Amino acid sequence: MLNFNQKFIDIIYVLNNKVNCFSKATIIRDINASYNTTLTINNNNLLHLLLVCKLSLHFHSLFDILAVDNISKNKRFKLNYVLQYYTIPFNILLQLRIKENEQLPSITKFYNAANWLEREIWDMFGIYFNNHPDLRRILSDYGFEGYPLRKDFPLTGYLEAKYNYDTKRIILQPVKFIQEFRYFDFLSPWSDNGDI
Amino acid sequence: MDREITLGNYLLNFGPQHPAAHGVLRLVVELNGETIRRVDPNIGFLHRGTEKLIEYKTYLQALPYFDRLDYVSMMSQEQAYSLAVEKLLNITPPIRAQYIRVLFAEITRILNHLLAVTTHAIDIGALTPFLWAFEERDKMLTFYERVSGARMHAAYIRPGGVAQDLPSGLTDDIYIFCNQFIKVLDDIEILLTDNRIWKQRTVGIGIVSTHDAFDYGFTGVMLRASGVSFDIRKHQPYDAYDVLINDNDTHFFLPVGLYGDCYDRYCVRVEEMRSSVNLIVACLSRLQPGIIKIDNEKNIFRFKKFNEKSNAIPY
Repeated sequence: MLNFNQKFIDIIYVLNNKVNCFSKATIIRDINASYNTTLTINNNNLLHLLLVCKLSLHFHSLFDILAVDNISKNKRFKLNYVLQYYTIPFNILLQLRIKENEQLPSITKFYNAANWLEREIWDMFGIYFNNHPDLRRILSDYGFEGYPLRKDFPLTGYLEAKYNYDTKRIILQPVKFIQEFRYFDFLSPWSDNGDI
Repeated sequence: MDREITLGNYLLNFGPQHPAAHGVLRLVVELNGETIRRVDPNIGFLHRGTEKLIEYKTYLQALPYFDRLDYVSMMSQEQAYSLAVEKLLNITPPIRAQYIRVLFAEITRILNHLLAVTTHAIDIGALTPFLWAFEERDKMLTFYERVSGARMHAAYIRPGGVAQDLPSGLTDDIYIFCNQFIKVLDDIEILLTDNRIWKQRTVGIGIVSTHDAFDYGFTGVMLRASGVSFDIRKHQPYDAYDVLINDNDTHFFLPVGLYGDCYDRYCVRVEEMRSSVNLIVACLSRLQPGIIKIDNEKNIFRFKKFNEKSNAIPY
């Protein structure tokens, strides 16, 4: 455990000294003695920081890229890059915020795992990644329009697929409901902010 | 009459519906003779927008979607979701619930590996292991049924513990099952492990190097077969794994492959099933009477969080 703690301190030291590009770092110690570190970074420094993580800190792999849509904020999207060691229980979350039409550099050069993850984020949130080798939609239907995981995309979507017996092919038509989608947003009189 | 014909690469469409594919998957394959040069997988046919649906649900309402994400490891998906919710709400489930979770997570692992190994054997041409394995899977699905009422989509492991306590007699039956399952596993291994045809068709096929495994962010069996000794149960333990794995009486072991080919992955899966049986037996011996979910009524804050749309802040 001593060895592990030393390694952990080394990582924080390197990150603090070599790259002076994150505004604040929060270290969350898990109940299970594994370390989760969240670093809030500036999105201009993403490539630089990942280079340091890969080449001098030897992070083995990129587990995931997660995007969150906070529609009310000016910098709307929050992206988390999860980097992981396979030898010690330590992972790091590089967190950054971008505006709606901002672009990010692709990190497929460093970790091939990012290829499909970035395609998924492009598909679901419409965040464009520069220099990506093959940025196409990955999960949604052929010819799909819109970005389904954005908060302003309706749950029912815009189009529905249907088999047309006359033309004998599948057609897309605007969604029609006999009953509107009912969303029970229970108001709570006890809550601080009213709506929950 | 002899004419020289040169054939270039040609494109072949596979799927989305194909009897040889386990599921809906479209592959656009570029072939040179019988050698695949390039594949473009179109994987979205099973995408069901789970995240979008969950935006309109409470934490408890969202749980059953996770059975359906991966319908051969139902309870593991529930457990992953429950652990995430518990982390956000800062809850620790009771000890008995933790052991029940591990017990059923390991049963699920065996379910999953049996399906993976034996359907692979079917594709290669051996039908018998599949029949034997599905008899065992049926017994394990009966345990699912006895504990939750459903054979597949259990909705049993929930944030804060498990849905209900184990029915009487279930632990004995699981123990009896464990003893006879080892023998079935031996039988399956007799048919496959040293089989010449099996080895000809798996050894040296689909090699994934350690570097590639890191580069593509592999986890689980794929990673371990490529020679990396990493298991989330051991390195970042959750629920009762911490106590169980560090106990020598459990006889937990972590199989690791050498070459990263199909045969190594098969061997790792079989050995992991043996390790899982050991874990199940250890769970059964450590199971103590107690509560199986956290007491909601005592804490009105927590009660409200569960019953209404919660506003736990993700990080």
